[in-house]
Amino acid sequence: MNLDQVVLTGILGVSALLFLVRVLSIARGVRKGTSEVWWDHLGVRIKNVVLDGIFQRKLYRERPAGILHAFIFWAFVFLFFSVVEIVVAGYIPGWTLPLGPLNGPLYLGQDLVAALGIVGVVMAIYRRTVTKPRRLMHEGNRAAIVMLLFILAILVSFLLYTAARIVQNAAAAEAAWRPVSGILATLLSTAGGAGIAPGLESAMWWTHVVALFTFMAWFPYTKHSHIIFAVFNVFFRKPEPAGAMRPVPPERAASPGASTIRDLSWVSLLNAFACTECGRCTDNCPAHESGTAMDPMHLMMALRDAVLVRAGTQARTAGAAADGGASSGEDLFLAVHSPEAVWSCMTCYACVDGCPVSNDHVSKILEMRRQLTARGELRAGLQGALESFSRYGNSFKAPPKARTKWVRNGGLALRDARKEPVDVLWFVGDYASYDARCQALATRTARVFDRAGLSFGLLHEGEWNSGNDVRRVGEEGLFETLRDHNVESMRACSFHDIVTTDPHTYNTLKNEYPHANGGRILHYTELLDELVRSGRLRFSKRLGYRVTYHDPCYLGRYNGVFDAPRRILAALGVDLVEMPRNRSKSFCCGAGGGRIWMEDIPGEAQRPADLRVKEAAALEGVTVLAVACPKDYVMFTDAVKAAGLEGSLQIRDIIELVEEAL
Amino acid sequence: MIPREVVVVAEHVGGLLTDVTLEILAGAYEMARSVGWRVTCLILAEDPKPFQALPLAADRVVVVTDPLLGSPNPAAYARVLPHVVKDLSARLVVLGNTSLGIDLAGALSHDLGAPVVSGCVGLRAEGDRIIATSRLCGGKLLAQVEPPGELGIVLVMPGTFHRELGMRDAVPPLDIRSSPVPLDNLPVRFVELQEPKMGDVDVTKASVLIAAGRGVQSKENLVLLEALAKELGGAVCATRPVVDQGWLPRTRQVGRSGMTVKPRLYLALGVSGAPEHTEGMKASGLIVAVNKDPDAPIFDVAHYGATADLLELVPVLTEKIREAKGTQ
Amino acid sequence: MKIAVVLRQVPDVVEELVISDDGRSLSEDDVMYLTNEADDHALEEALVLKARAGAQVTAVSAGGDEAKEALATAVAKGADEAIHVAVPFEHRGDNARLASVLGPMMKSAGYDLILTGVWAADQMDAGLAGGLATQLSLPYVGGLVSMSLDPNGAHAVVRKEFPGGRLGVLEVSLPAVFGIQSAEQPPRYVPVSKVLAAKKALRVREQGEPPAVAAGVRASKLVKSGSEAKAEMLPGAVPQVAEAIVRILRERGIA
Repeated sequence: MNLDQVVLTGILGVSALLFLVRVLSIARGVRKGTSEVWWDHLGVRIKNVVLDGIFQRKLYRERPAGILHAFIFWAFVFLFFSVVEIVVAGYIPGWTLPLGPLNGPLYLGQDLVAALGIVGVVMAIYRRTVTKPRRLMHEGNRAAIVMLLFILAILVSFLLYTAARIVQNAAAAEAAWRPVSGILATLLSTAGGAGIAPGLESAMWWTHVVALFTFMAWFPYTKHSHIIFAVFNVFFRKPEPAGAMRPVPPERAASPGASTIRDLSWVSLLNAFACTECGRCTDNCPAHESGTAMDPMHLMMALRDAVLVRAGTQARTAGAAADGGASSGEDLFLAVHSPEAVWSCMTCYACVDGCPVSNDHVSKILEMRRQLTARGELRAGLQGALESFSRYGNSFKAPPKARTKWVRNGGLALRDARKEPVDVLWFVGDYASYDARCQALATRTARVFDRAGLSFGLLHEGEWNSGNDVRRVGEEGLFETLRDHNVESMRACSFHDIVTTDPHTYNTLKNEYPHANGGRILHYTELLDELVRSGRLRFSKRLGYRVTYHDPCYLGRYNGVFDAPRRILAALGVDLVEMPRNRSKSFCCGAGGGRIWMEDIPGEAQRPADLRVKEAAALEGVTVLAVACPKDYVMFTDAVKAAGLEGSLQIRDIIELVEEAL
Repeated sequence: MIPREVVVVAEHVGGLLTDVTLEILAGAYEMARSVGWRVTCLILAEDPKPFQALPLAADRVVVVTDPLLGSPNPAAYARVLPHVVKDLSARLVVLGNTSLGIDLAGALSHDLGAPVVSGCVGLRAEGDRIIATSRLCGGKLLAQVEPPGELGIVLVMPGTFHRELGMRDAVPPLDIRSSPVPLDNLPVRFVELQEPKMGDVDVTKASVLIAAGRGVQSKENLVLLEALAKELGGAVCATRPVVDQGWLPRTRQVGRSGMTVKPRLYLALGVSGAPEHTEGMKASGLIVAVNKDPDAPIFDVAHYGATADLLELVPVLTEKIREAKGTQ
Repeated sequence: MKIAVVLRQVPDVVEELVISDDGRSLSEDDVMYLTNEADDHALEEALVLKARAGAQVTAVSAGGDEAKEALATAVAKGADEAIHVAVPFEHRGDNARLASVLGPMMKSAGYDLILTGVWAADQMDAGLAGGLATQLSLPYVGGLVSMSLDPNGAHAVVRKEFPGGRLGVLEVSLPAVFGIQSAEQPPRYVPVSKVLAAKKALRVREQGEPPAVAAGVRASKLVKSGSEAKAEMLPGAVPQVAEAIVRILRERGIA
């Protein structure tokens, strides 16, 4: 072996060593997590990998980001082969990959992606230095730009290397298949660079190798570890619906949830190394925007540090022996995210939905909440709400009998599904039944159902809170009690489908309740949409309002129901203007995750609902903000008053508009 | 026939009889006069001097003295009272339903072999019968109770009777005695009485009080009430739950364990009106209550009420008062 | 150190209260019970003392089946022992009777501290704690908001609420009975799963047949209040209400 080869071997060796040390320490860290099944639902998992891992469709929500990343991504994929060829050529000069006729197309691909890759990198650098979108500015720019420059060096040196080879011997360098390099070679020759070509070839080869293997050694120590882990992360992400939480395993019943990283599953811990620090989660987070301590991206980054903590180097937690040797650096509340931040989450799912590598921030927060609740460390207001649920089945400290007060007051004769068979069981929901402002909406809904000739009935006092938000506060036992009670009430009834006016109720009924009779769970907008399309519900007039629509988190983002409400609005004849943040980018009203029961939210500078109504009010000519959730109705009505917008913006539930147009 | 004896057990702090004592004297006196009974005001104290020339509504005042009766030590009172009550041949013993009164009820009942009726909001006599009205279950129920037997003991809620009627125009005869039993070896020693740290505001001196109840929802909303209080030249006070939350200091608490107040205006915002609170403010000149729940017990003591949203109402009210003042 | 806490079950006023046909008691079918709030505080105070000084806490509950639920919750919160005293419906709220039942039982058990709420929502008699103390010839102080125990267990220093926001500091020799007004921290939350687990594993000692005793006071008539003079309600939306209030205040010379 000559000196060059020795140096090459050294570079490879050091790079491989550093790479392996890091990857192994990540593996060791991730293995601290609990076990999780990953071989089920293989079809879903593979589909996810194709759509999100390979085609990275989420990145295209922001077109430039999607394009530039695709350029860089495919450059890495194709150039992997060139790396093999280039390195082996260092030992066996002139060696090429034994692909036969496929070599040509491969080189073509490499050439093109290298060029596009350079475009991508330049676009990326431009964004970080000139455009400066907010979400990229959460973390420092320097490391990212240095990395980009490394990639640039790798790509440029590759093209210049092949260009130099073409100048010397076009045929051997397969110039026919390398258009871009060919152009560079021509430019080089024309500029009289034929003489420097050998030197350039050598210099570029070394530049390429050094840049590449420095990158290889360095990248797993940074957020670029996503290069390795993102695709796996996408594969391992939970296959069940977003709105379905996992129950507490029986062996954890005494201390449910997570207090240290060892209580999270290894899939959950892997998230931290798939995280690209892109900032989409924090940018989309309403809790963060309103000023609280919640910060999904920093949660991930702190998790990464906590996973890599080496036992013995940190102070022990008080119960270190009990939690299997976990040190304080692994304690989630001390090292990752404080209880205050954890309670500020609305479980709106914007973070998870926006994450290009399929990280699940919400599941960690929910596991931490399970632990806080088990310890009795509840945010002020939650204890009263939970105790009220436990005693009365609602959070209003009102007797079960008062649930149907709105029925009696409205003078309606609504069927009791417990006593007679109906087509549709209407699960009304707590807010619609007990909150004075929403009771009027429930009455309207009943009238509309009547007009449509729907055969429907209620559970009356047999209905308890569905438990969606109770579960998301971490009170699994109480959720089970509520759910079992409701299931029992429904068992006695005869019906086909269930309809509900509350998206939270909808989510848990659809995703977390057992399905006894095989019918559908529908949100009222889905049901009305069907009735309108089938002609059973007709409108007598067209409403001329200029309307914008707020997608409820648990209807839209969690369960994909975006179009049914819009079709109804279209049928009503209103002039629909989309909110700047619409559909899956909808901005939460702030009521979810139990926050509507909490007495105060520390750190909150502006309430999410206030921010949202201002967003609606800024739309030119819009006089109505349409909602499809009673909590949205309550939150936005209060916000309109707080923001002094009473005259200019009305909050109206879709059911009100429907009734008006009948 | 010897007239029946009603013994009213007085409470005092710093040489002054408490308002509750004057109230129960008023009630006992009215009841006694209606059936020809006599009232003895019984004061246990270290020094009789402060009580020597009071024109109380009683037929006589008995002061029992002992050095260890200088502070409200329930064990000392519990040891002395049964003997004195027996000496006085009481038909009825009246105490305030207060911190001290509740302490004594059990011991008195046992030692005197007499039943106790507590939580009384009404007291009257018919012939030889005593009929008390007791309020229970958060103020939602009223029970009429006739204590049987030769001796009855009642605990009367503060605010039931009018303290002004506890004083008359003449000073009743005074009888000073020393304790009939020695007060040594008491199992309870009174160490000290801690006054509340009167930091900022003395709610008992304000002529206008804006009361914050749980309906105010959060500490942040208190600024709205402060603004309103400022316009009216008053102060913000609170119910117990609000103080327990830490939104306001305990010196602002109105109610059984807090201050008793009698401002010209008591504006109760988001206050449910539990008896523990209302007994501290029901004597206010004008009580206006705002609560979303039309069945809230506060409306039983308020003069005017509204079910409007208080968080909406307060800023509007503040503005209108400001305007009204501007036009004066 | 052995601490006993007595938890009484009282009618839940959130539910509609129904007077029975005899006009002097509540209708048994319509009553829902919950633990007396002050007794909940007594339990919390006992658990605070247990955590601070190490003690064995015995929860005693009086009532029907709902009283056994209360024991499961108490054990889930941290009580070590559970005793149930069955009280027939017509005797609920009679603290004198309850005291005479508990007295002999507690005398033999030798508790250092007996805690219960200073007041029960449904009481119209002298209350439980004072009568119990007198039965056991123990000192009694009520209205407590905090206490600290001597390390040797011979004394307790307690803080007692007096009107006007005053606090009395008293030193009491143990054993003693205390009537709790509020615990040093709000009654803790215990998750439903823990209560259900406690219920499954619950071992309750039933207190034997009580001796025949003279009952305490009984109501000759029971009515629902609220038939008194109520406030004049001001109608309308916020602007109208505000105007009405300003008018009233100006009439009185307050604004």
